[in-house]
Amino acid sequence: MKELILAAIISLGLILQSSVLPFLEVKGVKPDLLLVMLIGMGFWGGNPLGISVGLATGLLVDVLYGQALGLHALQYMLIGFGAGLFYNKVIYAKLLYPMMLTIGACLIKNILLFLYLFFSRTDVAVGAFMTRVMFPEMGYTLILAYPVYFLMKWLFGKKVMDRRVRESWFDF
Amino acid sequence: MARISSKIPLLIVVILSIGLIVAMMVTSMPRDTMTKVEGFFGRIFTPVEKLTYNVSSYFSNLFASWEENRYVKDEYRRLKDLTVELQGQLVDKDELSQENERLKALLDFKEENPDLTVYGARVTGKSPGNWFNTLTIDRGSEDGVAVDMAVVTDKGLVGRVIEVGGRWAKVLSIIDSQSAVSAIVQRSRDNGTLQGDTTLYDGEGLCRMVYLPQDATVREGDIVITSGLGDIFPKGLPIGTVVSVENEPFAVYKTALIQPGVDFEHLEEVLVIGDTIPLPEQTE
Repeated sequence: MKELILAAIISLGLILQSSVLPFLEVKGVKPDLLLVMLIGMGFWGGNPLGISVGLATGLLVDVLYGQALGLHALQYMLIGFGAGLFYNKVIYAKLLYPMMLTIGACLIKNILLFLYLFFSRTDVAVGAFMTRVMFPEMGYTLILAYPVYFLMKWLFGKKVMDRRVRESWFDF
Repeated sequence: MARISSKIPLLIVVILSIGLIVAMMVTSMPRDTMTKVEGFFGRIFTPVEKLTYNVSSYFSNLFASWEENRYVKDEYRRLKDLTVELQGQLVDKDELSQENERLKALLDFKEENPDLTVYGARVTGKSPGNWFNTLTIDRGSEDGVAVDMAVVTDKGLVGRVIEVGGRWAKVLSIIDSQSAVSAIVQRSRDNGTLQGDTTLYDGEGLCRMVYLPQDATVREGDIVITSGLGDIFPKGLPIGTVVSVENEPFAVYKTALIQPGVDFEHLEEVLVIGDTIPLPEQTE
């Protein structure tokens, strides 16, 4: 049941990301709803959930929209894994922590994308990209993140999500 | 539950990461066909995305129309005392008439280019991130669409098909950083390459035309069209207008900034250009 709910949430997120959020672009920038959802799942669900959902979501994005299979899968898997490291490490109810993780995740995502473009010999103006895309995307994503985290915290508090207080799968 | 204290989970993440990097390197090469897995997921997601995209588009247009109507009404009130001629200026902005206009423009393009085989398609989604600019459309190999076919609207070139599924396809737009199109300035016949730059488009709505010869006479207001070199885009498809020319004193080439004719943020219907030479009719 839990797996079905997570699959439905991710599918809904992907559909919203690709067909609704493009209409809410501000100066060509849209927030990353999938990234927010993955952090939520990693933070409140721990690992291996963070890794597996991140990997599956990334692969789905690569299959449907990607130019190279693995790019989004790598980003989202690492973000899911990273968020999962904080499972039960900080106060469950505070939304501040996943919000801070969102800032870090946006940075990691964009650094990985930049490295991919650099190694695929694509010319990218770093300064312009940071000011026009990366930081605006981060701000826009943070605005979207708060209500999403609020809903995810509520969801992971439900019995059906089987959130037992347990030791982390991988400690750091 | 016993804690896994070893580094095995970290090792799994590292192995998966290496696997994904290898997959990236392999699949970033140009491919002619889509895998069955890609085709399968495309068949599932494309119809749902198409529906939500259309609904979002409807509300986006409705909001835009509402804003526009409010402005028109305010203007009307202000000018009512000055002239009665403005009373007839309320414009019907409903969704159907807007769509009719767009489709009529596409039909005009088809009629103006009778030597081109074109397929009408609807945009069903856009790439989720901000770094890339790819679109998905609701036509695929079963409709005759193939890799490297040009995609246009009545306003100009949109991009080219990079992967094809049964009933859907991915399109790399000309504003994507990984796109390069051989182009020519219509007036001066100067050749160059139109290079996409997502950052430049997001910031200023422009693309860059590079490798223009130093003696090129390109100037502001010139129309840029496809050159036909490279066998992907037919010659003469409009791309955009020159807005400025960068002329460095010691540079080998000139660079021009181009405003694309297509509005990539409000793209709904497109035409996919098939064979430029009509196929012979089959005889029984």
